[in-house]
Amino acid sequence: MKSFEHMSPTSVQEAVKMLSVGNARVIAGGTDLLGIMKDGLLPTDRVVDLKAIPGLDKIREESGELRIGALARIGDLASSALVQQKAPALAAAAFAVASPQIRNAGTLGGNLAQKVRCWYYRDADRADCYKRNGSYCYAIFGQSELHALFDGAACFAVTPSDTAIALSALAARIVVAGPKGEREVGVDDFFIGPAVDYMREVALAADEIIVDVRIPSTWSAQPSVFLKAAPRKAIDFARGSVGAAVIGSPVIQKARISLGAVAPTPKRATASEAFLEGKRLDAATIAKAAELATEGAKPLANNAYKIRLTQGLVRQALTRLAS
Amino acid sequence: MKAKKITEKRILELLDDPQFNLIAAESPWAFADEIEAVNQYLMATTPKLPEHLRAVQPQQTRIVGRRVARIEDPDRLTGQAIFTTDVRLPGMLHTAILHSPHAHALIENIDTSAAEALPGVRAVLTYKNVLKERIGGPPDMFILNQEIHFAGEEVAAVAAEDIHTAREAAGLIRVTYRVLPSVTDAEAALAPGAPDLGHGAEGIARGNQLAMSYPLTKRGNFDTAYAGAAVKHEGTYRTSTLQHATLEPRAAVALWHGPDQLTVWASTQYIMGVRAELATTFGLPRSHVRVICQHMGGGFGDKSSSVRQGRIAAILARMTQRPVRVEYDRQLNFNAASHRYATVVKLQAGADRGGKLAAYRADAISDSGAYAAFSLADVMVSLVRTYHAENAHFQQVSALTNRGPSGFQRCVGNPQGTFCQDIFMDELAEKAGMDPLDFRLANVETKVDQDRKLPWASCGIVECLQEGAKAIGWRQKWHKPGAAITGSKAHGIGMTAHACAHGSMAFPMTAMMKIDRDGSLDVIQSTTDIGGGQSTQMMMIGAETVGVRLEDAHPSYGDSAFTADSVGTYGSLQTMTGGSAVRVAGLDLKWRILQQATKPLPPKNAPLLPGKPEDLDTGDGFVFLKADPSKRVPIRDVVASTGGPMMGQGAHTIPAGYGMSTFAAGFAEVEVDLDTGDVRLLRYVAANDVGKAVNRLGVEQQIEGASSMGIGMVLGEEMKFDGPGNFPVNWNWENYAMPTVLETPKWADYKPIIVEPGDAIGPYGAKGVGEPPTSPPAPAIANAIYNAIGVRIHDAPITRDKVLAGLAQIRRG
Ligand SMILES: Cc1cc2nc3c(=O)[nH]c(=O)nc-3n(C[C@H](O)[C@H](O)[C@H](O)COP(=O)(O)OP(=O)(O)OC[C@H]3O[C@@H](n4cnc5c(N)ncnc54)[C@H](O)[C@@H]3O)c2cc1C
Ligand code: SF4
Repeated sequence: MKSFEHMSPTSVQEAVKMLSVGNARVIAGGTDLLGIMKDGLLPTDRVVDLKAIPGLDKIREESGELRIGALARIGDLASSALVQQKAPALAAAAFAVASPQIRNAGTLGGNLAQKVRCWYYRDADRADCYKRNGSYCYAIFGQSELHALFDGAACFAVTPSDTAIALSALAARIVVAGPKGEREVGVDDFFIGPAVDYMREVALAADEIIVDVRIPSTWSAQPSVFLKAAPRKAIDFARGSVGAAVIGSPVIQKARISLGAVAPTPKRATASEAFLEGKRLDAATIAKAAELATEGAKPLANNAYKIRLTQGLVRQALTRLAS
Repeated sequence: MKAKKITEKRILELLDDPQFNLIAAESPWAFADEIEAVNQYLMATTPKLPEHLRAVQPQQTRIVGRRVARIEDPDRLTGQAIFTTDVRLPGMLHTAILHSPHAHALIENIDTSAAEALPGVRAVLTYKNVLKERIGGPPDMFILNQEIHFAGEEVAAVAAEDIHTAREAAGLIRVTYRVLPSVTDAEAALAPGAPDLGHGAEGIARGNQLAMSYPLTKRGNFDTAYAGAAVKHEGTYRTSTLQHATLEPRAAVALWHGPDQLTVWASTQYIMGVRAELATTFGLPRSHVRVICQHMGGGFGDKSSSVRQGRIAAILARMTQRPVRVEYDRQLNFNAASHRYATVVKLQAGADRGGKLAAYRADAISDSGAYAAFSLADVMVSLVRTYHAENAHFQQVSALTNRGPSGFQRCVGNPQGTFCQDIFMDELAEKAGMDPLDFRLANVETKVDQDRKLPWASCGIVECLQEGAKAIGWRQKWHKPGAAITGSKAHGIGMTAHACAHGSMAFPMTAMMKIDRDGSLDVIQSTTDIGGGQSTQMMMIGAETVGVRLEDAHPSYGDSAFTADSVGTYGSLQTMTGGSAVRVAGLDLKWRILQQATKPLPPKNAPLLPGKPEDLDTGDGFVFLKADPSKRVPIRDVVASTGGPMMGQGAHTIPAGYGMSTFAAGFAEVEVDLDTGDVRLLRYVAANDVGKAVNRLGVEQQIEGASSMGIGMVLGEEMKFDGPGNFPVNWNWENYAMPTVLETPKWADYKPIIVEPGDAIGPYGAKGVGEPPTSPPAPAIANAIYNAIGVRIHDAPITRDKVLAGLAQIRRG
């Protein structure tokens, strides 16, 4: 690793200022950033460590909302009784992340802002991929089993974050601090696809910081689930995942279903959501909703299995919500 | 097969060649004639166990057969064990290795000036300034090559004051490659129109087909027998390229003392082989090279030679006059270390109406990868020996491709061969209308090596099948395929029968035994303990044979300065080979002790014990009269009566007239999720014929470890290569899905069964067990998946995509 400058601001304002210079990056748990720096994937001459800023890791109920500081550790989310009660899908997603060691070091903010895991992107030898500022996507003719079924354009890497999928199902809002103060953005707008900008996965400027994540009262404490399929039971990133939440029982008034590992962003299964409104979760309805979830999928050479997998996960998620 | 004539001169050369030892151990069929000649020679020249030593063999075992924790466990568990990668010497330099991003290329220009100019850099090595020594092949593999044969191959090495500087410097080397056509699939490499990798001109290949291969083996007349068979079946099966993914990567630390004395700490399975290689590289007498490997962080077949890393460290150390450390980074270790080769096996067989195998044929293609240096890519060893077939035809070809170098991985070829064979046999059983267990019981070979026509020195395959079946509850649980579905979960059960040469082979080996005046015994052997508990087991055999208490014994191993040349730890052969040498050395020492005990001693001219040496025995640290064990003296008094320590020595003796084999059976129960294609292994029973367990705990650990690797082979492990670029994409532990503890069953559901028929050759009747349990899990699990979902999957690994595609054939939505 090349040498770099390490800074420890004690306030968000100070941190934002430090970020406005050169190739500065936020570091929280470092579980993603340090690997990236070692492999030389992103030029970095300064890291701005958020861990000394007090109060950024609180998990609390405020104004009827479940609010989670960006520095809350993923392991704490998984074991928090409040999160388990108010947002079961998020607790399950947090528990599904990586391994105990990584959950104990990694933070929610870092989980949302982590870079993609496309194996070409992560290979220092493949420096000409679009995401590395090059002009080629290896996945299109190469090994694409990790890659997107939906919304690929130039880049086909999928969102790696498990918590993002649960947060998308729970209609969360992300609070971002920058030079001009704070702004709030809905989770589905926070993630941006390659059609907008293939170099970035999230709507964050270089000198912006995620400070808080908020789950509105409409969706907290509603039944919600998160299911994930990966090659192994621990460590692995999702090959398919689903976050689902419903309001109304036995007749569904509103449903939110978000799919993971199939698109560059959390992918809302809007056709399934619309179909479910006003229906009871019986077997036929569940089967139809699952089928609709992958409508419009455009598989590459090696990822067609994600269609059946995603349908199966949606089926299982809705079956759980029905009981 | 026509036998080649092998001269005596050639035999002696082969015996002295560590490469030959290795290939003979790991691919015994690759040089079948040479090996046969060497064996004949050794049988004729190796002394048989002398009568007087036979007479003093222990009457009963006191130590062999116990459960003993490995002696290195406390060190390892407390982090105090010093592995090669832990060695730090004063003034030591660190090395970074630059690798090729291309699968096949010629280095047209390499400019190291910027790297050399970086402060802290002490030496840069490329093909231009490295010794031009051919270290394996074909094709020609040098310490560094100008022609690159696979993506990830070593191109240059930089030694610098710290690893960060070394890596930065490696990044400053400018290489101009001429990219050449490449191919990474064996079938594609052999197909018409394949890119010519250029080995034909070197005379080592026809097109891309390697000239050397497993010899054609024929019995009876396959075609006639097949034509007349009542039940016929054929199928094609595939296995993938696997990586050992050792926790400790390839590594070496080299230190020169003056111009002609070299010490190397090497992460190796074969200290004596590495010593011989380095002596050749530097033109030194072997005694001037010392190789040390006390603790090994995983070898599994990859570390049987020093290959490039040891030589690079020693050359850089000589250039800089400083100690030099080389440790492969994870990407380099995944791609440049050897691989278990991918195979395609086409099988064909006919059975009679009663389900008896009448004709059996195998045609295999294996992927030798970029170099055939350390493997000839056999897959036939278990095919020719597991099932009785009087009419048979086994044929194999190997292709050179641009995958990384192929090699051994916890067995050679058998995990591949048995995977294909035992799915096939399951299918044949079904066609014959037989229960899979009954089919195996009716067809396994229990008596002889069918090609050499020699009786097995031991055979426990029937007991493996019966005990394993009992433990898993085969008769109660086996059901029709796809007949046990509850909700979205399908239950399945499957099995495998397996026979393997590994664990039964014996090679020349020496050992020494030293007992001190205080009665403590030093068991000295050149075995490398690779984590399989070899040194503990040698200590047990030594203590048993001499008759001291286990607490009073200690093994010395892993340092070439200690003892004579002998083979490495591979082929599961240390129990047979090292164990046998230790036993002979122990008997030699015991004989001397008994003689001393009966020798009249001054001043009274009275012996310590009455009678002749043959009337005495030893045990628990005493020499006693067989007729009256209460008449005894401590062994230490006997040793002390000589005034100094006593020594024994021994060499392995080669037995004649036996076929040698290990045997195993595997039974698996799975649950398949029909929605997601998840396969969960619920239960696994491994039954292994080990002859006799020397260390029961060690045997269980080996069975568990090997089974886990077998599970990985079928449930996830596979090196994947980019289509157009032919470079590996999943070269890390994130994307190469080795099983974790969560993918293997809980201990209660993970049952090792130890079958002990007693071997006619092995020490105390023991055979090796490191590799044989690796093969059965994959086909057993594949057969269980079939039993669950009713769809056959022929290609390993059986990953989610294949299960889901299989389910799509039979299920809605
Ligand atoms: C082996 C392995 C397996 C993994 N498996 C999974 C998995 O199964 N599921 C999953 O979801 N994740 C997985 N991960 C990713 C892991 O969860 C993330 O690395 C972790 O959540 C990142 O958190 P961190 O605090 O360590 O972030 P860091 O590494 O510190 O930062 C990651 C990125 O986010 C940015 N960042 C961090 N905090 C903020 C903030 N507050 N505001 C703005 N930007 C910020 C950093 O600049 C950096 O670019 C895995 C990682 C590894 C190494
Ligand atoms: S999918 Fe994206 S990250 Fe991967 S190779 Fe293509 S452009 Fe690069």
